[in-house]
Amino acid sequence: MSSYLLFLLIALPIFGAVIIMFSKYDRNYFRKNIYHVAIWTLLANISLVLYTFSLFDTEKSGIQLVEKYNWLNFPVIDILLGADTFSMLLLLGINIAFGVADICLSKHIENPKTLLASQLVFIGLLNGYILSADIISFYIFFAALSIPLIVLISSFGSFHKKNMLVRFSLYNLIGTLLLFTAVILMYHYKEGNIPLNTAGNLNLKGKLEYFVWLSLFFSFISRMPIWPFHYWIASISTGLYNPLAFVMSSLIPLVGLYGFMRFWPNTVPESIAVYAPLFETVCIITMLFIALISLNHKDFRYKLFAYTTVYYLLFLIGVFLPTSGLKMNIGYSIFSYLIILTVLSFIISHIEAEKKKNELYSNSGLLCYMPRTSISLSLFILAAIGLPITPLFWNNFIIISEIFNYNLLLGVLVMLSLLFVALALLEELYRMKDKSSVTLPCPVNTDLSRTRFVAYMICLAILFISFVKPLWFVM
Amino acid sequence: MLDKIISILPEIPLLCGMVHLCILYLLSNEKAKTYAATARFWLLVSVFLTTVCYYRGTDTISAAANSYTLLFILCANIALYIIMILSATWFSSLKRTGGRYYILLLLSSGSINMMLNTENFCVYGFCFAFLTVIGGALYGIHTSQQQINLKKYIITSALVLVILAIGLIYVGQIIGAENLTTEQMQLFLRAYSRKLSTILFVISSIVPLLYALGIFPFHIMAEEKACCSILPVSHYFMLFLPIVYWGCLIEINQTVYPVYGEIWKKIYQALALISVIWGAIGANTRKNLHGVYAYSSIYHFGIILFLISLGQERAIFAGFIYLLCYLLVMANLYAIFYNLKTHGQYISDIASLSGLAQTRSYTTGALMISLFSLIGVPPLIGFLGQMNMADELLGNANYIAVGIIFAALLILSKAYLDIMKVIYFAPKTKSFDSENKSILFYTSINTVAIMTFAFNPFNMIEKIKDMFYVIFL
Repeated sequence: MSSYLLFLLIALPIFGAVIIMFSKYDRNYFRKNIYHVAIWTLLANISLVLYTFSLFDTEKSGIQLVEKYNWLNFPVIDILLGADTFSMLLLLGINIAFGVADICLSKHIENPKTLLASQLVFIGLLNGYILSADIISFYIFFAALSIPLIVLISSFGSFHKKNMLVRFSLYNLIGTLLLFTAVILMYHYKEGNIPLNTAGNLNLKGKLEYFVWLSLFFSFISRMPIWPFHYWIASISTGLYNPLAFVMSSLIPLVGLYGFMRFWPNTVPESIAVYAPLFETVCIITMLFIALISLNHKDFRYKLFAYTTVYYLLFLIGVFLPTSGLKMNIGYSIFSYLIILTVLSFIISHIEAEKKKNELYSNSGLLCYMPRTSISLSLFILAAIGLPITPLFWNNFIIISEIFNYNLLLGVLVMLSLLFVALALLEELYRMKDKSSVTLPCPVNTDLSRTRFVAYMICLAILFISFVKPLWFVM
Repeated sequence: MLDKIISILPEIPLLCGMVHLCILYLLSNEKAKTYAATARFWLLVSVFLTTVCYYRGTDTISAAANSYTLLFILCANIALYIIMILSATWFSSLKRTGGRYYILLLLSSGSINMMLNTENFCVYGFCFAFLTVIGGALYGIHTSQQQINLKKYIITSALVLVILAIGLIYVGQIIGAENLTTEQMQLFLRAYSRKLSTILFVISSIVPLLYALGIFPFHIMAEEKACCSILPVSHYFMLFLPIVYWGCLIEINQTVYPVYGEIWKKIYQALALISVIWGAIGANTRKNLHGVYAYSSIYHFGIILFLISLGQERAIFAGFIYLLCYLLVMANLYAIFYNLKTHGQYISDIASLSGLAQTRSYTTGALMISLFSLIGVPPLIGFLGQMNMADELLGNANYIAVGIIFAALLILSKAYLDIMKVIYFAPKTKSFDSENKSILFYTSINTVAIMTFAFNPFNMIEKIKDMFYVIFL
């Protein structure tokens, strides 16, 4: 069974997408059927991830459960899949987040087939990206992720931002081509495919070294919301009103972050590493800039986008620190971050939908009439900004401590950014709970459904248990 | 005697097919599907006999028959078969029989058999001229709404044929027409390689192929053939003929012109890179889908020419793989055309695609996958071609070429993305006619092929390589 397990983790969501694409339209049962296919596919995938975890020796570091597939003999390329604890943690976080998303997704959205099929293809390819253990398959999945994202933005993006599609695609393509060139050069240098964990030992020299590492750097950075790429990611994310589409677009920076985690720590040559302070400066300026804008911005969705940006950049700074011990801390943080982000996105989407339905123009006092929504939103915003009941709090604490250890000024500026974005979220929460500003009549039937509320509380329970005992799900 | 009969066996069904089509016409049969089915049947018989009786004859027509030529003949005839299936719907919808069209297609099939299998340059030149005449006859088939520039086609083709004829006559006078075989040509070129007239002859034999393939600066008719002709004819020009001409170009370069290796390399590379840039920029200036695809083909053919120019076996094979990948996608794009109709009129303007995503999800999906494949996004088939290309170019340290090709790809991608933008974001202005189920079925199969063939099922690439590498022996 373990021989094809990792392959199955990639193929299963894609198989689910194929079933959805070929499902016949029926007025009564069509929507229900495709939702069930999506949910059960994800639940099966989560079970597979947990089963795979059970085969792991979590004490050992390094890639385990390696699977090798012969692809081409001309040129000779074998595809390697493999996982370590960090990548399994990411996989679990992604699949749980999307599982919750599908359970909480409204059954009345437009174009559910395209949305759910794109989602499953995206999950399958993202699983492949995280599980790839050689440079060629790493590139294949990195580039392939563009397809469901472009379909998603085309189908659900704002009409007024249609030119963003072209810009998004071209930026993606630039990053893809840079990575492609670097990978082929590395392939030729070594005269064969290279396992990912040995990519740093190539000993490239001269111009080739500069070109390869800079290409890798810019290809991953093109996925991060860092200046000057922050504008297009912001436009895409804030233009996607569907919460599931928003969550998927919010995972674009994870692709870049994961690339850095695989290629960068302790492997970047000294000649490139001297530019690290410049890069850190750009990161911190972007963090502060976006955090300050979110304080002023009225749109709750933009505040959530600012939160995601600041935290991704926090993890990125953590990756670039000259210490190899932060990888698992970042992994645990991202695990809880993904779940929190998904839940917040759906709650905000629910609030916006109710506002539109009841023709309300302001968020003020809205949560007074939505007790379940109020509890969920409060708890998850507190978890997002660092409530000490989630692994996000504890692991971010360690990451920030290391940043302070490395550079005091950098640490202070990072803390400031986190503070601003926390204030932005809390300010919005306060406004929505402030009964004194309520002027409109009480809206009816606006609260979260019981199913969703229970799903959110289960997520909170998962986060709490993960805080108490990380890897509690490993049998 | 038996040798001669076996060597012309594949052409006999084609002849029977033409006679059968003429009989149908005389019997005033009105159904396009009958003509198409008849043509397809005889083509299949011909393909079967080509494969079974594949035979290296001693006569001048089939002396060069080997697995390399068989590979190209099979690919070309499969493309022709697909064209015949899809074109039947076009002719049916316009209540035309397409008899002339199918007869000319069968004639083309016979010509390419001879053109690829022969080792005599006179026969090759005659077949090339014949294919050009067939192309003109097909180009002349038009609807009342179309304006075609047949005069331009005739003038440019005549010029090209005159250039070819002058070259062949010049060499024929020196070594004799019956000696215009590959072997004799090699000896002749080695002996007279420095003479200006010999160099001009070599140019005269290559230029017609570059013109037929639309390589810059010989791309004069490339867009007209795609845009101004009727859809089945455009399909023929864009899918069938390139396979044949690339087969000839690779064969001629390998067997006859290695003596000019280094000079040709530089000329080819310059033309290739300019084609790449020209194609990418040109595609962005076109408002018509056929025009975009025509310029896109100039870009992709530029890359194939560059790979061939490297002269190494691996690079030339990489060029062939790139060609196959490109043609598979082009087959899908043209199949989609047959299902794009509004109020009975076939659509080719990009602006007319507005709202397609809202009502035609499968067609939109197939179109998107094809465009992504042309960009080279994995795991689609286009990525396989792109990977082989980059592998060879970077392996040969052609870094500047790679930079130019990828920069041009970004420019070309903008043209494809503008199409996607119209499909998804432009407000729907007209309703589309209901889709033909059989074309939809074919499009689905082709789309699945684009998505899965990059995984090299059944070790296809190795089998193709075994057939292709015969040319290097």
